[in-house]
Amino acid sequence: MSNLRTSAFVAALVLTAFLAASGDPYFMDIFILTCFFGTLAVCWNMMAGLTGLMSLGHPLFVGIGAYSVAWGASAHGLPPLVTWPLGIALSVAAAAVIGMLCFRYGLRGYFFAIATLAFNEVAFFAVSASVALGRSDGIILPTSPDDSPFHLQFFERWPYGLIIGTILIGVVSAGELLMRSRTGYYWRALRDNEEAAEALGVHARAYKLWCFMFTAGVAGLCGSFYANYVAFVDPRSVLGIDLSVQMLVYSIIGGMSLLWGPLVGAVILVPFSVVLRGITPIPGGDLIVYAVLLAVLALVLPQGIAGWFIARRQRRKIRRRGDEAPGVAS
Amino acid sequence: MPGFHIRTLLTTLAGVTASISLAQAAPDPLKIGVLVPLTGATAADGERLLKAHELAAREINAAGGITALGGARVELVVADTQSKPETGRSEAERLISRRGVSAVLGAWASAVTIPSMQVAERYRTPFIVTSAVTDSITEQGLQFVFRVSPKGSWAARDVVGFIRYLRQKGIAITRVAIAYEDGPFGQAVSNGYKAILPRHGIAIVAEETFRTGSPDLSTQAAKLKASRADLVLIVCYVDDESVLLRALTAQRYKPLVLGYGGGHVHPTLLQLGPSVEGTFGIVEWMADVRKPATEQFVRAYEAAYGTAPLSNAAQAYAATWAVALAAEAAGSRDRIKLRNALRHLKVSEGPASLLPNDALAFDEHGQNHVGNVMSQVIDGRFVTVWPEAVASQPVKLPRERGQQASVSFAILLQAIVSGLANGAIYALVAVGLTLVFGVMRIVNFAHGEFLMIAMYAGYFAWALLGIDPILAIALVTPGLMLVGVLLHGTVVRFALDAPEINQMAVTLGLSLLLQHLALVFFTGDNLLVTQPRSTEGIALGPVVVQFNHLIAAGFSLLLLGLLALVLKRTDFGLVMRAVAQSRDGAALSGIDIGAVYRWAMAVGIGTLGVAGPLLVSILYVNPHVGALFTLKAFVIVIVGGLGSFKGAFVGALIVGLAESIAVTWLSASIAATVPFAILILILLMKPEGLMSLGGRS
Repeated sequence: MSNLRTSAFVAALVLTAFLAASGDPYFMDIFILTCFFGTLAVCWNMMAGLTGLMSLGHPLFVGIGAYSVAWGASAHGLPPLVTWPLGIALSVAAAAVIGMLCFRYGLRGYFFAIATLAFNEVAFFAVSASVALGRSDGIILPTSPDDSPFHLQFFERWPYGLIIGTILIGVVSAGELLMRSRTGYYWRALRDNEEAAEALGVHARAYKLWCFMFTAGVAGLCGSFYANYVAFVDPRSVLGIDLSVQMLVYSIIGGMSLLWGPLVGAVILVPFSVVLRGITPIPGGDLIVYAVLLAVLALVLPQGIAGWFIARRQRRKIRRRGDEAPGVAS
Repeated sequence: MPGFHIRTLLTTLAGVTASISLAQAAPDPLKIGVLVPLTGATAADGERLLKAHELAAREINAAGGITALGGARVELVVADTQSKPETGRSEAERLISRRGVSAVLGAWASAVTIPSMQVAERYRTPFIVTSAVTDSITEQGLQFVFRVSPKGSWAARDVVGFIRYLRQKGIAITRVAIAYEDGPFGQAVSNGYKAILPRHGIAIVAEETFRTGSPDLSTQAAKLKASRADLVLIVCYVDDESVLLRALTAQRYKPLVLGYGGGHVHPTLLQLGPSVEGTFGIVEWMADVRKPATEQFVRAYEAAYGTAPLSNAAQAYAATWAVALAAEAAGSRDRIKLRNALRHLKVSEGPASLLPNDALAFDEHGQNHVGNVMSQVIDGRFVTVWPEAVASQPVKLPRERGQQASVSFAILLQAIVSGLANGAIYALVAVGLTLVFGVMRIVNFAHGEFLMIAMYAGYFAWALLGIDPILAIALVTPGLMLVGVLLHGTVVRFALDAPEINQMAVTLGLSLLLQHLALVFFTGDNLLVTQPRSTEGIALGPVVVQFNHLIAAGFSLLLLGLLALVLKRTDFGLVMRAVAQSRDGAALSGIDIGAVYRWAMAVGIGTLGVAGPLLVSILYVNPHVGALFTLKAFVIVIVGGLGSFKGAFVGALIVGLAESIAVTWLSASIAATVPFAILILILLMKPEGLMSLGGRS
C-alpha cells in the first residue's frame, strides 16, 4: 500500500473531518462544499498543474453532469443510478470531441485556455436559450417530503457528505495511482517539455486527450452530485465562468505541482470565505480579502502553500543529513 | 488538516454567537433571517431591500416589540447571498441551523430564492419570498413557503386588463410587440405575456430579444418600428431599458411603451427626459398608491434614508411585518406555530397592508393574491394611474400618433450599420489589451475593470464638474496612463517571469478586487450620462445611427490610426516593436526593457481613458460593467491576432457585425454564441489570428 500514501492520508483526514462535522448540518454543509470544490480543483489541476493544460472550460463538464441529472429527473423521472453514468459519459464524450479538435490543431497555453472558454460560453448561451433545459431559469429537481435514497433525497446532510467524501477519496486515489504509473510520468513530461517528450516517443496527443477526458469525467461526476445536493441547476451556477475561477484559485493558492495541493487551497479558502462572510460588516469583504490573497500569493508563493511546505521540509531534511547537495529545486 | 480547520471554525463561530446572545437582554429576541444580495450583479437591489427590512424591524421594536412574547424585540440576522444560488442555500442553512432564526425572508432573484427556500422547507421553517417572480415557487405544494409578491405571469393578466381599459378610453391598440432581456427575468415574464395575451385576442406581432449589457439596440429598435406595433411591452432591467428607449427615440418611433417591474419605475430612467415621458410601467407597488399604510411607509422611509422607496422595498417591509404579526398571533417563536399563524394571517390595515390588494393574506399554496399597478411618467414623475381604486392621477392619454413603416430591407442595413458602429467601439476597448499582450506577453484579465474605472471617471467629470464626456477624455486619459504606470510598477513587473497561470491568477485577483472595491465606494447602482444628444439619431437613408455611437466610432478610428502611426513611424514605436518581436534581442541591443514595458502599460491602459468617457455616454456604468467587455475583448484580439492593431480592428468589426446580424434572425442568447463560434473556428483554422504576422506564443 506504500504507493497510496497520500490517498490514505487524505482519506484519514476526510473521515476525521466528516466525523467532526457530522453532528451539525451547518458544518456538514461546509464540509460538503469543501469536498466538492476540493475534488474539482484536484481534477482541474491534474490538467493544469500536472499535464500543463490550462482549461477554462471545465464548468462545461460540471454543467453536463448537473443538467443530465436535473433533466433526467424532472422530464423523465430517471433515478441517479441512470443519470449519473449518463452525465459522466456525456462529459467524457464532449471532452473527447473538444480535445481532439484542440490537440489536433496544437493549441497550447493561453490559446487552449481561451478555446475551452469559448466552448464553455457557447454551451452557456445555448442552454440559456433551450426551452427543454429551462432556459436561464434553470431546472428545479422534483423533491418529495420524505427521504428517498433511490433518488438521493435525504433530509439530513450527512449522506451527501458521505457521497462527496467518497468521491474525493476515490479521485485522489485514482490520481495517485495514475501519477505513479507510466501515464503520470508521461503527463509530467508533456508539461515540462512537450517537444522533448514527443521526441522520446510519448504520443502527446493521445496522452493529453486521455487526461482531458479523465478530468472531464470527474467534473461530470461532481456536477451530478451538485444537482442532487442543491436540487436546482441554472446556467449561471453550473456553467458560469466563476466555477473556473474557483478551481484556478484553489489550485494556485494550494500549490499546482502536487496532486493534493489544490485540496489544501480548498480546505483553507472554502471555510474561510464562509466564516468571513458571517463576520465582516462590509459586503463583499470576503471577496476583497480573497482577491488580494490570490494576487499576492500568486507572486510571492508561486509554488503554493503545499509546494512551499514540501520544499521547506525537504530542505530541512537535507540540512539535517549534512548533505552537500546544492539545494533542491522547488 | 480539515478536521483542525473545522474545529477552529466551530470555536470561533460559537464565540461569535455567544457574544451576540450575551449582549441581548431578556426576553429573547424574535430572530428573523434576511437573505439579500449585498455583492454580485444585484447588489444595489439587495441594499434597498435591506433598508426596508431594517425600517420595519425598527418600527416594530419602537412600538414595544412582540407583546405576546413579553415585548420581545425583533432581531434581523442578515446574510449576503452574493447573488449566487449555492451561497444563498448555504447561508439559509447557516441562518436556520446556527443562528436559530424563526423565519427567513428573501432572497431577491428566483435563482437564489428557489434553493434557499428548499432548505427552509426541509427544516420546517417559514420562508417568505419577498420579490422573486417565477410562478413555480408557489406551485410545488411546499408547506413552509409564502410569497408576498405576485406571480410573474400575473403581470400579463393585469396588462390585458389595462389594454382593455385604454381601449375603453378610445385608444386603438391592435398590434403589440414584446422586447425582453434574454435572461431569467425577461424570459419568465415574457412567457406569461406570450401565453396569456393571445388568449384575450391581443396579437403579438413581434418579439425582440437582447442580452443584458448590449451597448447598442438600434437593430431591435428598427425591427420594432418595422412591426408597426402600437404598444411595445418591455421586460428588462433599468440599465438596458435606458439603452433601448434611447434607440427607439433615435429611430423616431414613438409607440406606447409599457415596461415591467422595479426596473421601469427606477429614478435612473427619469434622467432620459422626453424619451421616457408618457411611458407606462407595470409594477407591484408605487409610492403614491392611495392607501394610508403606503403614505406612512413612504414618509418613514424617506425620513430614514433620504430617498423614495421602490416597489421591492414595500414587499420587504410587508414581509417583515407579516412575521411579526404572525408571531403576535401565535404567541410563540416556534416555527411550526408561526407557519400556522401565517396561514391564517389576514391584514387589511396597519403597516403590512401597504400592498395594492384589500388584505395581505396567503392562500393554501402560500401565495398572496395581489395584483400589479400601472404607473405612468407624467411631467417627469412616476405616478400611479391604474387601477382607479388606488390611482393617484388619471391616466394621461397620448395624442394620436402617425406611424410610418420602415422597409424590411432597411433592417438588415440597420443591423450592418449598427454592427459596424458597435465594432468600432469594441475596437476601442480591445486595442489596449492587444498592445499589452503584444509587447509584454501578458493577458490582462482586469482590462475591463480599468475600463470601468475610466467610465466612472468620465461619469464624475460630467456629473460633478459638468465636463462633456468628449472633453473629459483629455482629463481621464493621462490619469489612466498614470494608473498603467503604477500597475506596472506595483504588480505586473513582478508577474512577468511567472508562469502563465500565475499571471492569470494575478490579473484575475486584481479584477475581483477592483470590482468589489468599486462596489464598496460607488454601490451597485447604475449611473447614466444624459445629454440632449444622447437620444439624437442621424438618419442615413432608411438607417439611423445614434449620435453618440457615431462619435465613439469616429474616436476609435482616430485613436487606432494614431497608434498605428506612432508604432510605424516613430523611434518609440520601433523600440516597442523590437521588444514585441524579441525581448532578449532588444535587451542585447541596449534597449531599456523596463522603460518600454512601463510605456506599453501606460499606453495600453491609457487607451481606456479614451474609451471610458465615450462608452459611459452610450451605456451606463456599474461595478460589473467591465466584465461584460473583458470577455468580448479577448474574443476580438484572438480573432484578429494577438498583438496586432489591425487585427484588433478587424476582429472588432467582425464580432460587432456578427452579433448584430445574428440577432435579426435569432434569439439574443443564440446570437451571443456566434462570436464564440467564430473564435473556435479561427483558433482551429488559423490560431495566430486573421491579421497576425508572427507565430503563436
